[in-house]
Amino acid sequence: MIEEVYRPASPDEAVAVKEREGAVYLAGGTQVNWAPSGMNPAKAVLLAGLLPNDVTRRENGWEIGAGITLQDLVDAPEAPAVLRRAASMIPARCVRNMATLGGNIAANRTDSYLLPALIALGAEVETVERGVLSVEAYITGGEDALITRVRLPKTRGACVVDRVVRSSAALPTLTLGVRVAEGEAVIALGCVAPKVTRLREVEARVVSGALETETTVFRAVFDSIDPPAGLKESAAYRRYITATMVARAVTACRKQRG
Amino acid sequence: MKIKFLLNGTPREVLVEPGENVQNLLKRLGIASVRDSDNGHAFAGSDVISLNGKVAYASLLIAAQIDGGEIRTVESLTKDGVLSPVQSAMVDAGVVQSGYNMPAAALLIDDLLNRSPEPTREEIADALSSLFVRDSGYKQFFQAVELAAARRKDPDYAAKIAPEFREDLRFVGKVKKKVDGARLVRGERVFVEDRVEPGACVMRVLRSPHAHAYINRIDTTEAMRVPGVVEIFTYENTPEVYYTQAGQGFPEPSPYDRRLLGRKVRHAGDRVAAVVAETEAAAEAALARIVVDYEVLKPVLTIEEAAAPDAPIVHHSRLSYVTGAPEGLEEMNRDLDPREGEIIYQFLIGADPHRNIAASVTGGIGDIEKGFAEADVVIERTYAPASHIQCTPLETHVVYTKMEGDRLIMHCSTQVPFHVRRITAAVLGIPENRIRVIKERVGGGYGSKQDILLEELCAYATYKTGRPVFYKYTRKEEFIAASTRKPMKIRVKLGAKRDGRLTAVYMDLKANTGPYGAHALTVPMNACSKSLPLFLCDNVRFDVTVYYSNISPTGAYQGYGAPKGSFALQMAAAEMADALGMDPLAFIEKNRVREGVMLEILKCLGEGREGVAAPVESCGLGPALEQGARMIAWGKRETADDPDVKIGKGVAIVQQGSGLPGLDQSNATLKMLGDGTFMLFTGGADLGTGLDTVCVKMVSEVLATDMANVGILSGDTDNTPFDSGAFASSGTFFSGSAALLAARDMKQKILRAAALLLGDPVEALEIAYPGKVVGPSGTLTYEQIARRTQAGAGIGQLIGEGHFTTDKYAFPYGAHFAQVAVNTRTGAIRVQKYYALMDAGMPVNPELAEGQIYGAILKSLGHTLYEGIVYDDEGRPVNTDLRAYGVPMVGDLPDDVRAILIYTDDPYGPFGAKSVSEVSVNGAAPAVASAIHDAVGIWLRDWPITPEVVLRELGKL
Repeated sequence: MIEEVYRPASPDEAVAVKEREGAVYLAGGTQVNWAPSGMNPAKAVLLAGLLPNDVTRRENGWEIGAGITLQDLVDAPEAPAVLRRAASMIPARCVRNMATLGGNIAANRTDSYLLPALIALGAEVETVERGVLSVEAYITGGEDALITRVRLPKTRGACVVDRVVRSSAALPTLTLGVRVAEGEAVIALGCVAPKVTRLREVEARVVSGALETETTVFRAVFDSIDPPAGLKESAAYRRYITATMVARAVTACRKQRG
Repeated sequence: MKIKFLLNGTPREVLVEPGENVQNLLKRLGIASVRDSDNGHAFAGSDVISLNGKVAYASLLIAAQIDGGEIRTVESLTKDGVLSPVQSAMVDAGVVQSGYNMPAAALLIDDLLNRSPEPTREEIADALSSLFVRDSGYKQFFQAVELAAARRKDPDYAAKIAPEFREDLRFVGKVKKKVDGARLVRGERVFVEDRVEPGACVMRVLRSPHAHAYINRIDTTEAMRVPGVVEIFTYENTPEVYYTQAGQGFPEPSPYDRRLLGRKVRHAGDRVAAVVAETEAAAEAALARIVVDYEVLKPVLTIEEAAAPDAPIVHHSRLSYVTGAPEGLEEMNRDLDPREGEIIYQFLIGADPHRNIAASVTGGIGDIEKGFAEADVVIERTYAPASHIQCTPLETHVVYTKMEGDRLIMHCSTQVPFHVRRITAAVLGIPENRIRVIKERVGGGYGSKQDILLEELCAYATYKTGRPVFYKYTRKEEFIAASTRKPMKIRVKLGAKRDGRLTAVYMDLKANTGPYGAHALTVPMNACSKSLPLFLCDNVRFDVTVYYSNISPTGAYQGYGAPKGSFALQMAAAEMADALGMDPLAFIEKNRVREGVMLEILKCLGEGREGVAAPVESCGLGPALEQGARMIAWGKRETADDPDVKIGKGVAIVQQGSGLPGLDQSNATLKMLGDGTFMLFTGGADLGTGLDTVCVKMVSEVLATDMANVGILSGDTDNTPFDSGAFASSGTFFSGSAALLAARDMKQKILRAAALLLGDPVEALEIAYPGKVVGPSGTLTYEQIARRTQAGAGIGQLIGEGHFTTDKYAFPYGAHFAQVAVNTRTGAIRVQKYYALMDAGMPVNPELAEGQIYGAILKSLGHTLYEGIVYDDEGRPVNTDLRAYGVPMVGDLPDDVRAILIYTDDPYGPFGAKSVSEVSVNGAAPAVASAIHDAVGIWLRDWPITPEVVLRELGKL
C-alpha cells in the first residue's frame, strides 16, 4: 500500500521528489493502482493538476498536454482523429476518464492502443529531465522521465489504427498504427513483442515499392514477426492475424492517399 | 493523513492511509452501494462512483487522490427515499435483477444523461462499457435510458415496456415493479456483506498450489503466533464427516466425497487450511506462515486422461452405500491409503471411482439397431463443448456466520437455504433446529450458489470459536474454488429416412466432473433429458459416463447439462439435414416434439430415480419457429459489402423443465395482518430472478388486492416453511404454485369468515377488487374482516397454507435464430441478429422474463465464442479474472437481439406459467455454429468457436 504521497508544486519539483524519495508518479492511477500491475509502491508523487491537459492545434501539428485524460482526448475535436480513435478503443469509459495520455506512454505496455498510433504519427514527448524525445525512443529506451507534453507533427500521408480483440472488453491480441506517405511508411505494432515495435524492414520495402500488393505485404510481415502465443491464441494465429491486419491497413492507407 | 472531500454534497474530513483504496474507504464511511466484484481489476464496475463530475472506478483510486474532490454515489440520486427518474426507469424496464451493481449502473446512466440528454445508441453502449452485467444482458438498458431521458422531462412519463398477457388478470402477466427493485437500485444494505458487524473475524483459506497431492504434514505453529489469529483449521482438527456440496434434495444423487479439510488435495485451489483472524492482514500473514509438506501426484485434466488405463486415480477412497451396493465392494475397499478418505453413496449411481468414474448411466427406448438398419442415411459426429465455463456472479460467494446463544446464525447468498441448513447440521453434528439460515439478496447465482462452497466451513469456524466470521471469495477463488459447467465430449449418431424422418438417435456422452462429484450424475443426464425429447423418434439410446479429474470444481450452472447436450444434438440434426439435402428448419419441423405427444424417453431419464413417461401438455414451438423464420427471413441469402464477409443463418430448438416433479417441494404460509394486508412467508429463494414478485403476484391476483398490500419474507429457515430451493427452473412452477395454493387457502378462509360475519352462505360471497368480500347482506373489507377475526371474540388470525408437490411436467420450449457474419480473412465472427422466441407458458413477469432471456442469450454467446478457464500443464488455472477469462460485455451484444414471448397456457403451471431462464441458454451455440456453416460451409464442433478455429477450418492456418 502507498504509505506516503507528495504533492509537488511544479513538474521540476515532481522530478526532484521522485528521485529523492524513490517514489513513483501517480497520475490517473489506472496503472499504479490497478491490481494486476503488481506495482504496489510505498511512495507516490501525485501529478493531478500538475501537468498541462490542453490540446493546441498549430500550423505544423499539435501539442497535447500529458495530463489530458483519454476521454477528454476522445472528446477533443481539435485533436488528430486517428489518435482520438486509438484512445476510444480502450473499452471502459471509467478507465478513459481516469487514465492520462502521459501515463499511458510512460506505462509502456505492449498492449497499448495509443503507442502504435503515436509512433505511426511520429509523435514526440517533452520531458522534464531529457528534453524532447520521440515516443519510439522513449519506450524503446525504457525511459521514466516525466512527460509534460506530446507533440505531433502535421500528418503526412494516411494513417490507420486498428486492433484485434477476442471479445469487446478483452485485452487486445494486436494493436497497430500504420502510416503511409510519399517516401515514408511506419508500421507500429503492439502485442507482438515485449514492447510496441516497428517493422522497419517491411516499412522500407513498402516505401521502395517492393511490396505492391496486399499479399506481398502480408508475406513480408508474416516473415518478419515471431509473436508469442497468447493465453487463448496460438503463436501461429497471432502471426497470421498480425500480417493480415497490417496488410489490410497498408492497403487502406494507400487507398486513402489515392 | 487527513483528507477533505465532498461526499454526496456533505463535506467530510477523514483520517486515512494515503494509499487506502477508495472503495474500502467509502465502505468504512457507511456507503454500502459501492461494491467490489473484482478486487481492483477495474472491470466489473460494481465500484463506480462519480469523482469531480466524471464516472470512475473507486477501486482504482487511493484516498490521497480524492483529497479536495467531490464524490457522488448512488445515494445522491435518491431524494427522501424517492427514486430518481433513472432509478425508476431501471426498475420499470426490468434491468434490475440480482442488482449487485445496479447502483453503479444508475450512476453511469445519470452521468450519460447529464452529458447527453437524448443519447444515441452508441452513447448508451459507451456509458455501459464500464459495467459487467451477467444477469439481464444489456438490451433492456437501452429502453431504460430512453425511459429515464423522458422522465427527466416529465416525471409521469410512461411507456410500454413489454407485452402483457391475459386481459382477465390484474397482476399476473402484467408489467409491475419488481418488489425488491427499488431497494436494489437505491443501493440499500441487502446483501450478506452488509450484515457484518463491527468486530467480526474474517476467514482466509490456504489453497493448494498443486492439482493433485497428498498432504503429509501441516505446521501451523508460526501462523498461530501472528497477533490477531484466532484459530487455524486443518484436517487435524476438523471432523472426518463426508458430504456433498451439491445443494440437492435429500437423498442426493451426488456422492459424499469430500470433508471440510482433507489429507488429499484434488485441484489447484483445493482447501488446505482455514484461518480465522481478527483482521484481514493477520489472516494473510498467517497464511504465509503455514508450512505444508505435499506429496505431489500426477494430475489428470481431461476425460481422455482420466479414462486411460494407467491414469492416476483422483479418489482411491473407501466406498460405502446407504442403499444397495455394487458387487465386489469388499474387494474394492482393500489396501487403501487412508489419506484418500471415503465416499458414501446414498444409492447406486453407476460409480467406479477407482477407475475415475464418478457416475454412469445408460438407457433408451425402442430398438436402436433396428432404427439404424431402417435408416437411409446414418451420420456419426463427435462434439466437444469442452471449454470450462464459469458462472461469474457479480457478488462472489460469501457468508457471514455468528452465534446467538447456542444457535448458529448464517447469513447466506444461496439458492438453497434449507439444504445449507441440512448439510451444515450434518457436518457440525448438531440438529437442524440449532441453525438458522437467512438468505439475503443474492448478487447473482446462476447455479453456482446451489452448491454449499464456503458456508459449512465458515459455520464450523464460528461454531468452534464462538466468534462471528465473515468470508467472501476473491474473484480468483471464484475461478479456482467455485462451481463451473462440466466439460463434455458427446458422440451423436443419427439415422434418418430420405424424407427426413429420424429412425434412430444415439448419444454417447462423457463428462468431466473435476475433483468432486457434485451433480456428477444429474448434470450429464440432463444433457440427455433436455435434448433428446425435442425430437420424436421411436429408437433412442444414450450412454453417460462421468469422470473425476483435477480441474477446478464443477457443479450446477444455469441450464445444467442442457446447453452442451443441445449443442451436440441440434448440430447433429443440422448435419443430418445437410447430408439429406434438406433445409434444417424443415428437418426440425419434420421431427420436433409437439403438443399432445407422450415422451416415452423420460421413463429412463429420471434424476437418480426411475423416470416416468410424460405428456407434452403445452408446446409453443410451432408458432415460435414460424414467427422466427419470418423475422429472420429464413431462406433468404444475405450479402455483405465486404467481399471477405459471408453471412449465414442458423436455427436451434430448445427445451428445459420446470422444476423436478416427484423430487421438489415448495411450501408457503400467508397471514392476514390486522389491517387486512398480508404477509407471505415462502421458502423459495429469489436469486434476483423475480421469484418474490411472482409469489406476491399470485397472492394479489387470487385475493384481488394490490401488490403493495402483500409483503413477503422468503428463504429464512426459522421463519418460512421448507422449499427445495431455486434450481432446475423450479421457482415459478414450484414456489409460485405454493404461494398460489396458500392464497387460494386464504381465499376460502376469508370467505368462510365473511360468511360468519355477514350471515350469508359462503357460496353467495365473492372476493372483489380492491380487497373486499361482497355478499347479499353487504360488503366487508379485508381490514374489517381482519379486525373482527383477530378481536377477542374473533375466530383467530386467518392463515393460508400452500404445499406444492407434483408428478406433472411443464416443459418450456424455444426456437433460437441467429444470423452471423464471418470474415473469411480474419476469422472474425459477428452475430448480427439473434432472435429467441420462448414459450414460457404464461409469463408472470413479462419484463423480467425478457430480461432473463436477454441475459441468457449474451451469457451463452459468451460460452460459445469467448469464455473458458485455461490451465497450465500442472493443472493450475491461469486466467482467474473476468477480463482474461473472457466474459461478454455490452460491445458483444448482437446488433439486433430480440426476445419474443410465445404465449401458451400450461395446465399445470400457476396461471399457466412455465420456467424461462435456464431454457434460454441452450440455443446460442447450435444456432451460431449452424449459421457459421451456412455462411462459410464449415462445421465447428468444439467450444469456444474463435476466429482462430474458423481460420483453421477454412485452411488459412
